[in-house]
Amino acid sequence: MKRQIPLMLVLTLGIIYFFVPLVSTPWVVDNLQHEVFEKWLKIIGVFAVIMSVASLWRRNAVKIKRKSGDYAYSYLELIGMVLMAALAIIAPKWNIGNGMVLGGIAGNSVYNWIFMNMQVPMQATMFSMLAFYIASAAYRSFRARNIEATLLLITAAIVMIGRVPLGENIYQFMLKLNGGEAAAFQWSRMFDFQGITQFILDVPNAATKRAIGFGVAMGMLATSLKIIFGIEKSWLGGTE
Amino acid sequence: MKFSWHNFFTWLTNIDRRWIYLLMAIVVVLPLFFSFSVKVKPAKTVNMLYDFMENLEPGNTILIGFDYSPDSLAELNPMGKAVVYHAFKRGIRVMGIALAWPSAAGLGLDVIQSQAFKINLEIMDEKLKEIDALDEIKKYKADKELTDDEVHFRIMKLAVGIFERNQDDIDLFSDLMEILRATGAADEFEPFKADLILSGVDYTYFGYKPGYVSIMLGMGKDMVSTLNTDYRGISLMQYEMFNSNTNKIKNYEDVSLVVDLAAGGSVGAWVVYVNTKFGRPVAAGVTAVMAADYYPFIQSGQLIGLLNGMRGAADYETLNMRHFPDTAKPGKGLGGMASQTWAHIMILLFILLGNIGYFITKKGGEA
Amino acid sequence: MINIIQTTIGAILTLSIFSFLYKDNPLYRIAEHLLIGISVGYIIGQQYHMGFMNYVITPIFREGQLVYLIPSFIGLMYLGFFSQKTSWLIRFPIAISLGIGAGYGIPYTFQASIFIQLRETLTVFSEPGITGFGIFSGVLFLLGVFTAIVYFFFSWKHRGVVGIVAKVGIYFLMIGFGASFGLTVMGRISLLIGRFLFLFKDWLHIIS
Repeated sequence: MKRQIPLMLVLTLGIIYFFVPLVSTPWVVDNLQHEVFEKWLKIIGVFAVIMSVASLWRRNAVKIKRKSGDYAYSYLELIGMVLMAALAIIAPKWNIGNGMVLGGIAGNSVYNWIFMNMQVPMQATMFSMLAFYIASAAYRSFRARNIEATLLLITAAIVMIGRVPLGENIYQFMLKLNGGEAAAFQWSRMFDFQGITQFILDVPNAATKRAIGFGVAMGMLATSLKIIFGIEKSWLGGTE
Repeated sequence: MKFSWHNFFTWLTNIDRRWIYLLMAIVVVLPLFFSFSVKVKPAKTVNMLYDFMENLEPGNTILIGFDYSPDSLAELNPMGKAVVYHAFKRGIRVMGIALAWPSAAGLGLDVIQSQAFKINLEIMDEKLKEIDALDEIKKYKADKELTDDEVHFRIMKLAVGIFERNQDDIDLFSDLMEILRATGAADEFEPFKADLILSGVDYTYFGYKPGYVSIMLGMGKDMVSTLNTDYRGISLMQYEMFNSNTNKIKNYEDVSLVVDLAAGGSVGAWVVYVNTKFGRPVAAGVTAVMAADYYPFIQSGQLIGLLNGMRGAADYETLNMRHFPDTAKPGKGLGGMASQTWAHIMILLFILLGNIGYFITKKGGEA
Repeated sequence: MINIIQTTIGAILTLSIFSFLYKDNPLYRIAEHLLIGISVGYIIGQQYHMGFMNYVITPIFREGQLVYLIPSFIGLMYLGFFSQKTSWLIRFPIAISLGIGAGYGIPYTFQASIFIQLRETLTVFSEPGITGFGIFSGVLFLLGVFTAIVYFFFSWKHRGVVGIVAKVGIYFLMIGFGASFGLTVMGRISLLIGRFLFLFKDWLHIIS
C-alpha cells in the first residue's frame, strides 16, 4: 500500500500526461495543463523545501545530542539557518539606516545583505579552489599515454590558447611575418588559434556532442518510461 | 646524490602541491596589477546574439533566466550585466526570473539593478553635480560622512523612487528627500522621467519563482496569473509593463528573446519548452565547463547565440564598447582576460613539464 | 563606510575558505558550516515569500480559491520526512510530480533533442550559398556524428569495418572531450580570477 499507491499514481499520471501535449482539446489544456501541471504542481513543489530543512535539522540535532566529534559546528549551521529564516519571515521591516531594512527579502534587506556579503563570497570561493586542483592535476595526471590521450591534450591546448587573447596575438604576429592579408600563400592561417578553436567547437566538437546528445536524450526517454512503468523505483527510497 | 634528469623529475613530480597552488595564485594575481590593455575579437556565437539584440526594436522585451548560483558568479554575472546594459541602452525592456536555483534570486537582482542604476546615474550626471553643489547637500554629506558617489546614488534612488511611486525607497532617505523638496531640487527631476530606467516600466524582476517547468509553461499562457508578484511581493498588475493599454506583456508572444544564463541543465528546459513548444528564440550564456555541449544547438538553430564562459562576457563587453564608446566600460569579463592568458600558459607548461617528467621517469624506470 | 565593512566581511570569509588550501583548519570549518546554514536559510526565505505566500496563502485565504487546498495538502505530506515512521508519505507528492513531469516531457524531449537534432544533421548541406569550406565542414560533421554513434553501438562487436569506423569515432570523441577539457580549465580559472578581482578591486581597491 505504501509502495503500490505511489507506483499506481506515477503510472496513471505518466500515461495521461504523455497524451496531454498530443490531445490539445480545450478541456485537456485548461484543466490538465494550465490548472494541474502549471498551478498545482508548483504548489506541491513549494513544500519540498521541508525536506532540506528536515535533513539539515536531523543531521545536526543528532550530532549535538550525541556530542559527537566537532558538534560545535552544528550550532553554526542551525544558527545560520534560523537567523536567515527569521530575518526573512518574522523580522519587521524597520528602517535601520543606510538605506537598509531589517526584515523581508527585498534588495536592501539584512537577509539579502547577508546573502550578498557572506554567502556569495563563501560559495564563490569554495568553487574557485577547483582552479588550484586543476593546476595540480595538469601537472600530475594529464599524460599523453596513447594516441587518444594525445589527441585530447592537443585539442585542449589549442582551445586554451584560442580562447584567450594570446591566440589572436600569435596570429597577428604570424600574419605580419607572412606579409599581411594580401600575401598569396597564407601559411599564417595555421596559427589562427581563435579561428581553429571556433572550427573545433563548431564541427568535430558539435558532431560528437550531438552523438552523445542522442544517447542522453534516449536515456532520458528510457528513464521516463522506466519510472512510469515502475521498473525504476529508486525514487521510492527505503524498502517498506 | 649525483644529478640525473631522472632524479630531478622524480623530485619534481613529487613536489608539495601547495607550491603549485602558490604559483597559480601568483600567475593569476600579477596580471591584475598591470593594466594590460587586453583586446579580444568577439566570437561568432557572441556576435550572433549581439546582432539579434541590435535588430530588436526599442520597446521590445527580453526575458533573462538567471539559472545559476554564487559558485559560477564570476562567469555569469559579467555576461548578465553586459546583456542587460545593452538592452537598456537600446530601450529594450528586460524581465528577469530565477527558476532553477533559489540562490540566483539575489544575483539576478544585482545584475539588473546595477545596470539600471548605472545608466540612471549616467543620465542624471549633470543634474546630480548641480544638486551636489547646494550648501544643504554639502552639509548633509558632511553630517553623514558620505562620499560624492554615495550622495549621488541616494539622490538618483529618490528620483527613481518618485517615478516608481515606491514610498518604501523614499522613506529610507526621508531626511535627504526633505532637503531636495525644500531646495526645489526635487521639482527638477520631471524631465528625466522618460529616460530613467524604472522598475515596472523598463524592467521587472520576478525574483525566484518555485516551480521550474510549471512556471516555464505557465508563462506561455499568462505571466501575471502564473507569477503574481515581482521580487518584492508587489502585484504585477500595478506595473505599466503588465497593465498598460499599449505594449503590455501577456505571455511569450510579447517576448522577443529569452536569454538563459545557466550553470546547469536549464538551457535544455528552455529549449525544450519555450523554443520547441512556444517557438520563441532562445539564447544562452553558460559556464565554460558546459559550453562545448551547446554547440550542436547553435548548428540546429535552437539557440540563436551562445556566450561561452568569462570570454563570452569579455566579447559582449567589447561589442558594447564599440557601440557605446562614450559610456560602456570594460567589465569583469575583460578585466580577467590578462590573468586568464597567463594562467593558461602556466597550465600548458605544467602539462608539458608533467609529460616530460613522465617519459623521462618511465624510461629511467625501464632502464 | 558600510561599503568597507561589507567587503571586509566578504574578504575575511573568502580568505577563511582559501586557508583550506594550506591545510584544514577551524577557520575554514567555521566558514563552511556557516555557509551551509545560511544557504538553507536563504532558500527558506525565498520559498516562504515567493512560494508559500505567493502561491498558497494569497490565492486560498485572500482570494478564496479553495481548490488549491488540495495541492497544499499533498505538499504537506513532505512533513512526513521529519520522522522515519512517516517518511513514506513523501512518496505521494514525489509520485505526482514525477508522473506528470515524466509523461509530459516525453513528446517535447523527443522533438527537441532527437527529431530536430536529427533533421538538422541530415540537412547540413542545405544552407543557401554553401562554400567549399562549408561542404568540407559538413562532411566532417556528418562523419563525426556517424562514427561517434557507431562507437556507442555496443551491440555490434567493434571488429573489421565496424572496428575501423568506431576507432575514427573515438578520435572524434577525443577531440570533443579535448575541447570540453580546455574550456573546463578556462572555467575553473575564471572563478579564481573572480575571487581575486573581488579581493584586490572591490575590497582593497588596489587595482583599477
